[in-house]
Parts: sequence; structure tokens; C-alpha cells
Amino acid sequence: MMAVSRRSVRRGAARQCACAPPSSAQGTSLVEAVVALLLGLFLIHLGYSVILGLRTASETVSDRLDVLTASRITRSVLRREMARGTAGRDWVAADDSLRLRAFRGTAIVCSLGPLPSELVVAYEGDRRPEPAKDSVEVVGADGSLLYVDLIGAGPTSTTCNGADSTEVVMAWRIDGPILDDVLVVRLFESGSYHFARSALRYRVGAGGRQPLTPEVWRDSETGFLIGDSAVGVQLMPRTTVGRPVSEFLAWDPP
Amino acid sequence: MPRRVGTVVRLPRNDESGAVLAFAVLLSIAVLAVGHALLFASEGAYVTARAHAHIVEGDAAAEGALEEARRAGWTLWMDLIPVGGRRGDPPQLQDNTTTEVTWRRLSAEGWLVEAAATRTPRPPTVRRRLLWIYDPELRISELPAVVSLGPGAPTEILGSISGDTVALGVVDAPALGLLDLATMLSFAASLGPRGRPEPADVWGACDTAVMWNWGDPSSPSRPCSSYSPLKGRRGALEVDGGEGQVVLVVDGDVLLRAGTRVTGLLIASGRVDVLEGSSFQGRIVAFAGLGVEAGSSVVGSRDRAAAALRAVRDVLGGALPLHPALRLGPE
Repeated sequence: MMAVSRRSVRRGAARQCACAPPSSAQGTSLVEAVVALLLGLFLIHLGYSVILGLRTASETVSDRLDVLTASRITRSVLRREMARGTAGRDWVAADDSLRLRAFRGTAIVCSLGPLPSELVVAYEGDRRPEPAKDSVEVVGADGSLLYVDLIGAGPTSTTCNGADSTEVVMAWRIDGPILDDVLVVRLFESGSYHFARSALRYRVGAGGRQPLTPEVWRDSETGFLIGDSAVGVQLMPRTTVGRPVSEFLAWDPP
Repeated sequence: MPRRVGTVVRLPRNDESGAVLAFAVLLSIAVLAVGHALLFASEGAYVTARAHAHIVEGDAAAEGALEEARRAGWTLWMDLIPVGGRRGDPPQLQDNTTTEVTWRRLSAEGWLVEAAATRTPRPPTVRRRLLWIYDPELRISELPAVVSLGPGAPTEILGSISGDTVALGVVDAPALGLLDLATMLSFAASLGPRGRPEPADVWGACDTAVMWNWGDPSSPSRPCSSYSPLKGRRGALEVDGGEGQVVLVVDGDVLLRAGTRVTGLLIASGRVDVLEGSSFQGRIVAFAGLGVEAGSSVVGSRDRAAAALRAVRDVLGGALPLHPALRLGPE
């Protein structure tokens, strides 16, 4: 008991000695605290800088991706639309707009229908015909072309020999006379493409302009390039990311 | 005692070293993650670019196959395909891309040609075009008369015009359907300004390289009896006697004289004069006028004209675009 008490006393003395910090120990803790604080601030700054850098890099890459995406969409959409028509007859380009017959499908004529101005066709296209907004280009066996409105389109029980599995056999009624030697009928809507409010936009008839690309272009310097025999496009990015592009779209013979 | 106290005080410093290590490990993991993110971003850009390149490749392959089919033009099997029927060419493999061309007959002269370029496992790229390949019988029957003239073209007929249809008619242009004069001339072998058609054979075979060899219609047993060429000239042409069977396309005036005997089809943008006992059997398009001297004759023959036109299908039968658009759609 006595021995235990002595050990306890010694431990207590030792603790007392440890709990009474020397003056030098106090100074070390302060320096350490300051260093730790500075180091912490530096690490926070470093981390913030890294995050900021990553965010900037991410935004740059994203902007560049938007510019590339917009360029690709612009090129592919405009080239496809213009190749489906003929310069002067099906499309006319101005500085910032392209008015066109936007062809949406092709129908092979199987036979004349039972009603006047009715055709039985095997149709394949980007979408189904909509008589409210669609017109048709009638192609004769001699290459003659006739443009009339589509006034009706619906299913038919008439069969069409030689139709593909991808084609839908339909009965179409058109607003005009039908030639005996009609071969093909092409479906189109009247529309226009515009470079406006930093994007390429499409407008069907008198509807609103719907954006097709991200808003990345500088309006004042983006538009169609009208040459003597060709039409191109100039694309100027709004930001410093990406480079200006001038590209060929279609031939436009005088 | 102070030593022991000092040792006890240093213990928290060992703990700080552990935190730095953990921080370093986390930082390494973060750097690795950022590196992988950049790698995936690059991979995404690469995949997008590759997909676009494949689209361009497929497009070029399909367009190339269509153009090749167009240039090949008429071939023998085409007459066997009924209107509404179709025929697929054997698939062609080139640079890991398979192209298949399908011909679909929409009318006597109208064809829908479809080319599909496939590079497995991707879906095929399809391009379609409307082409026109002339039908000889239909082209001749579309001519309104034995001699077809341009609107208001003068005629001087002292000889005879006879045959299987009306003597004179009017056409809008010196052409055969979509085959205009310039196109036909581009296919035709070029003639000099003046000459006499005579058959020519070498070692028992018809010598088709001779400019004025227009076949030998009056000698069925001779080597050139079935030879009937396509000849043309930019400028006036004078034929001095001789005989032959021909499709003759001239951007200028034509003079048949000195007893020339020719069968077939003659299309001229200028005036045609048949003089000095000459005769022509078949069909004539004389856009700027016609003169037939007394003792000379023009005999209308649909069969002779169609036969001459049929004989040059492998030369003149190149497919022409029936529709001006480069893409018919859908795609």
C-alpha cells in the first residue's frame, strides 16, 4: 500500500513536470501553428487553383467541342440539304440565310389511284408526309419536273410490285393533274436556314427559328459565301476558342 | 526528467508525418483521376472523329459505286429487266468496304440506281440516283416524221420523201430525248470535212478504225455487213458518194451528193441537202432546213433508224442523270 502510494506520488510528480511546459516548447508550438496555417492556406490555394484550372480547361474544351459540333452539324446539314436540290430552282443563298425546298422523302410511283389526282406510291423518307405543310415534286419519265401541293396521304389496300421492305405503300392525292409517265414523287417542305443569334437555325414556313447548333458563332462575321460558281460558308467562333472556317457547300452554276 | 518530457512531447509530430503521407497519396490519386479524365476526353474526341471519318468513307464509297454504274451505262441484261423489275450487281469488296449496286427499272428509259456501302459492323451508307438510258425504239418513235425540222426551218423538196410515217414534222431541238447534240458528239468518232464512206476489212475482219468505214449494208456476206458506227463532226460535212449505215451527228450543215446511199439516223443542227441522185433511208433531224434535189430521195424507215441506234448503244448508251439533284434521298 505504501509502495503503491510512493509510485503514485512519483507519477504525479512526473505529470506535474510534463504539464509545466518550458518556455522553449511554447515557442515551437506557435511556429508550428503558423507554419501549419500557412501550409494549409497554401494547400487550399493550390487546391483552389487546380480546381479553377481544371474548370477553365474544362470550359475551354467544352467550348471547343461546341464549336466543332456546331461546325460539323452546319456542314453536314447544309451540304445534304443543298445536294438534294438544284441551285437556283430549289435553293437560294443570301448573306445569312438559305431559302430552300427541304426534301424529306422519295416515293416511287406504283400506279395511278382510283381517284383523280391520286397516286399509289412506295414511300421512304426522313418522316411521314404531312399534307398540311408538305408539297411534292413530280418527276416525269423525260426528266420534266412539276411542283404541286400534297393534299392527302393515307394507307391503301393496293399492292405495289417491286416495293422495298423499307418502303411504305401509300395513296397520295396531289393538287394538280397527274401525267401518265410520272416516275417519282419527292416530298418537300418550304423552309429556310439562318445564321442568327450565334447559331444555325431552321425555320419551316412561317414558323419560329429553331436552333440546330450550340450558340457559338459571331453573327456579324458568320454567313454564306456567294461565289461565281459555288456557295460556301464562313464560320467565325464567338470566343477565342476554335478558329474561323471557310468551307465549300455546293456548286451554284451561273 | 526533462528528456522524458521532451520525448513525450514529440509524439504528435509523428502523427503529422502520417497526415502528409495520406495527403500525398490522395493527391496522387487525384492526379491519376485527372489524367484518366483527360484520357477519356481524348478517347471520346477520337471516337467522334473516327465515326465521322467512317461516314465520309461510306459516303465516298457509295458515291463512287454510283458514278461507276453511271459510267458503265447500258449493258445487255438491261433489256431483259421488265418495267418494275430490279437487278443487283455482284457485291464489290475494296478496302474493307463492300458496295452493292441495285438497278430498278421504273420505265422504259428511267432507272433508279441505289448503291449501298457497308463496312461491318456499321450500318450501310445508301445513295440513290435517277438515271436515263435511251431505248432505241422509243427514241425513234418519238420523232414526229421522216424528216424532223426546227420551227420555221425552210424546205426545198424537188425529189421524194416517202416512208412509214408523215414526211415532215417539227422538233424543239436537234436531240434524242435527254441526249442533246453536244452529248452525242462527245461520244462520236470525229469525221473530216469531206469523204466517201466505203467498207474496209483486214484479213477477213472489219476494220473499224477506218474513219470512213460505215459498214457494208448491201453485202450481207462481207465482214462489215453488220457494222454500224456512230460518227460525228463539228462543222459542215460533205459526203461524196459511197454507201454505209450509220448514226451521224453533225453540228453544222450536211451535204449528201454523188449518189451517196446511206441508211440509219442523221441528226444535224444545220441544213441537210440530198443531191445528185443520193438517197437516205431511216430518219433525219435537219434542224435548220432540208433540200432534196430532183432524182434524190429520203425514205422513212423506223426499223433502219432504230437498228442503227441500237447498234451504237454500247458507245452512246452512257447513263445520263434523269434528275439534277446529286442526292435523291432518303439517307
